[in-house]
Amino acid sequence: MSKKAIKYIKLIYGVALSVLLIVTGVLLMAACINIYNIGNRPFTVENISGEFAKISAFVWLTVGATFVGIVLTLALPSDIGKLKASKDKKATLSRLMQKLNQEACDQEKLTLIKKEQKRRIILRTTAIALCVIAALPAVIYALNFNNFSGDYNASVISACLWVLPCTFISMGICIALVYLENASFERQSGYVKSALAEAKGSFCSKTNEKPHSNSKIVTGIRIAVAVAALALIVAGILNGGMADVLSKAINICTECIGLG
Amino acid sequence: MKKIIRWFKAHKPSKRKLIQLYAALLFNANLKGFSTGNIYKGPLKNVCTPGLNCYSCPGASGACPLGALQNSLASSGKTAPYYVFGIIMLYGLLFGRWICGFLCPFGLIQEFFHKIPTPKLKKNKVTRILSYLKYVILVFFVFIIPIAYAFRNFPLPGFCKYICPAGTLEGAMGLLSNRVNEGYLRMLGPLFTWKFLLMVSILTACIFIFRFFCRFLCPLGALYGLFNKISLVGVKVDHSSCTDCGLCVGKCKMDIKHVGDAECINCGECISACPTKAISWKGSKIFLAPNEIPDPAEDRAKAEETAKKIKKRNTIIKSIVAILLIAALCGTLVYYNFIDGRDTSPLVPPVESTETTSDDGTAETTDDQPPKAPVGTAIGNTCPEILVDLVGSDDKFNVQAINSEGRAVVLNFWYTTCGPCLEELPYFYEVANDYEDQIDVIAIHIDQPNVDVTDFIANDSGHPEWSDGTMLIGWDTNMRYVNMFNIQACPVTIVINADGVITDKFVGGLTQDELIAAVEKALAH
Repeated sequence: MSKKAIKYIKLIYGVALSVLLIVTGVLLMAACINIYNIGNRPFTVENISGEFAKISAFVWLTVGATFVGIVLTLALPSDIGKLKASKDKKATLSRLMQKLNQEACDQEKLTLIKKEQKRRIILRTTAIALCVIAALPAVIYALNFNNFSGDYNASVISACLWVLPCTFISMGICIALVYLENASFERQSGYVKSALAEAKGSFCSKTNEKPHSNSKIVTGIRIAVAVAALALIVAGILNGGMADVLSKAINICTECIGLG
Repeated sequence: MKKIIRWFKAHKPSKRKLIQLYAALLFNANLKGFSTGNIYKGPLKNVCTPGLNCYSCPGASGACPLGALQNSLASSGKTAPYYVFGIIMLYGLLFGRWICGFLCPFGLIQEFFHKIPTPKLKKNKVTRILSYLKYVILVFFVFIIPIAYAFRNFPLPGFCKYICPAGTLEGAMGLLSNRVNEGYLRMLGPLFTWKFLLMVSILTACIFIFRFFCRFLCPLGALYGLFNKISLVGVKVDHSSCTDCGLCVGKCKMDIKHVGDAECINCGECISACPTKAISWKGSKIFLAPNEIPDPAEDRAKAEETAKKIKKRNTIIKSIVAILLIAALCGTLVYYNFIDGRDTSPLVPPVESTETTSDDGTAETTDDQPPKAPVGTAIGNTCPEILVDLVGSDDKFNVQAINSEGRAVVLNFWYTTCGPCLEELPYFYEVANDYEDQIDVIAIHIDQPNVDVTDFIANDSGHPEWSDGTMLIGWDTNMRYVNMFNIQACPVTIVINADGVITDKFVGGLTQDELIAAVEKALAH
């Protein structure tokens, strides 16, 4: 069998299996909702077995198909594709900038490069400001503990309705920033590359500089964290924190695991 | 045969997978829990395991750091949560997110789901930004909600309760899959439905998206990620050899920007992808010492000799480590399953009865009284002798003595940091008030350190009237009655009628109507 045929078999099987798995997931969820809708204390052995009996054939079909898929994957030769590089545009640009001898550079290019740098600063500042504005209502709501009333389920849902939209708006801003920044990086890389090509070997002497070593700082932080961690553990043992952990761990928290 | 060997070599599990399986077994060493349906209750459970492993899982050998952190924060008004913070800092310093890649049992489950051969959704700029969602969850569900409710003296571990799929899968499903725990079914309601839907969604997403939960939702990974740069175990990059080719980031399935950043789970798969060998394990010089090998061009014989020496040393070190790890696993399995008997098998109730028992198990009495039910802790049994210490008094609560006065008894097992317990206790007080001529209600606090029930009721419960004697407050010294009734989860309510027969036993919170119905049933007997 040709590699192309194997690839197609795998793809078609994979897509079919995906559909089966998604439908099974939806059926499982629907079964749970159906049981819940029965009424008071609905999760009895009879209700659960009755509801799951309806979808058991489909579930077993999916399990079988998954098993066959795994066997197929193991039996058929795997297609190891070429490793695709995912370049960090910022790092690449910084490396190129290190090579660039700005004194020998064409002034027009230098102006363009500086303009891009300035544009990114403005972009980033604007994005941070927008994120702060978007997150502010959520932060204010969450930090006002009076919003967490005795009806804790309703309070948590209400808090989520404040926090999640703000979070997603902030993330949307960040995604837009990433795309705009990348475009800017690419533009600047183009200018730097052409400037380097024009300079023809007039590179900056900084190129061969060794990266700054911060091992001493890291060691210092490690020692500080280790001391703090051990001190906290000892303090915790002395103040009964460890015993509290035990008492919580040996009693099943039915709410924590979703039993109710 | 050669083909089979070649196939096996190509498909053999990686060292990482073996370590993941090892860790999953080590952190779930209480294997007998899966057959008995009970959790381990021994002293080793005060140690947190590094990965996300629910401590309500029947196999769990230690405590979940995230659950412990939330519960410590929820009770931070009483005890400052130094211990859990210290443990998390220590794990973070030692391993960082290497824990996610190698030690987390839920990470292993996610990777198994991702093995299902379907088309996969690869990382991109959007997933990179979505990975920040876990920090929002960390702040909001792990810190703000428990602390906000700690001020109200109501324990609410936000992440465990509303999100954690590991708790639903390992804890709830682990317990519910055993027929012994059928009683838990009556507790299931909207919360279980929500968590079941969430669990199925997350696991389905894991099939298509590599480590969906780890990347976007796991607050423990977010915490450990803060320590990634300083952790002692993990991968490191030699920046002088790195050419920024991006192959390492391209190979990685997580949303990393650089190897070793907060998103990196230190799986080490990028090591083989690096063309300049700039990526290596931290501390790898213990095993490999390439600088010690002289240049073969200069002294070939010496180079070969040194290489052999290094290979031998590496083999010895690896063998010792492997033997120690296997011995540790065997020791742990033996300890949890055979030596430590403090699991959860119900203790035989201390039956001190003068009655003789007939062949069918019913108790007979010598005079003409009707035959009594056998002594036991199940519904329909005669309740064993119960003598509970009363809080704030030297007296004891004697169930049999109260029965002899023709009164029924309601026993409620609770503790101060149990949310559902605190929710239902007002109903017990009301019932004690409404039926004061016919029943005695006692709320028995299970034996816990650092708890002053009298102080809690007077100052923190919001119900100082509970101490007026209408509803008695007891203390289950040495967990005697928790063990007798094989109580694993609170609240538990046991209703005993005036004849001393157990008429109802409920696990989980009760509504007021259910409690009244149970009391009426006991009184009607």
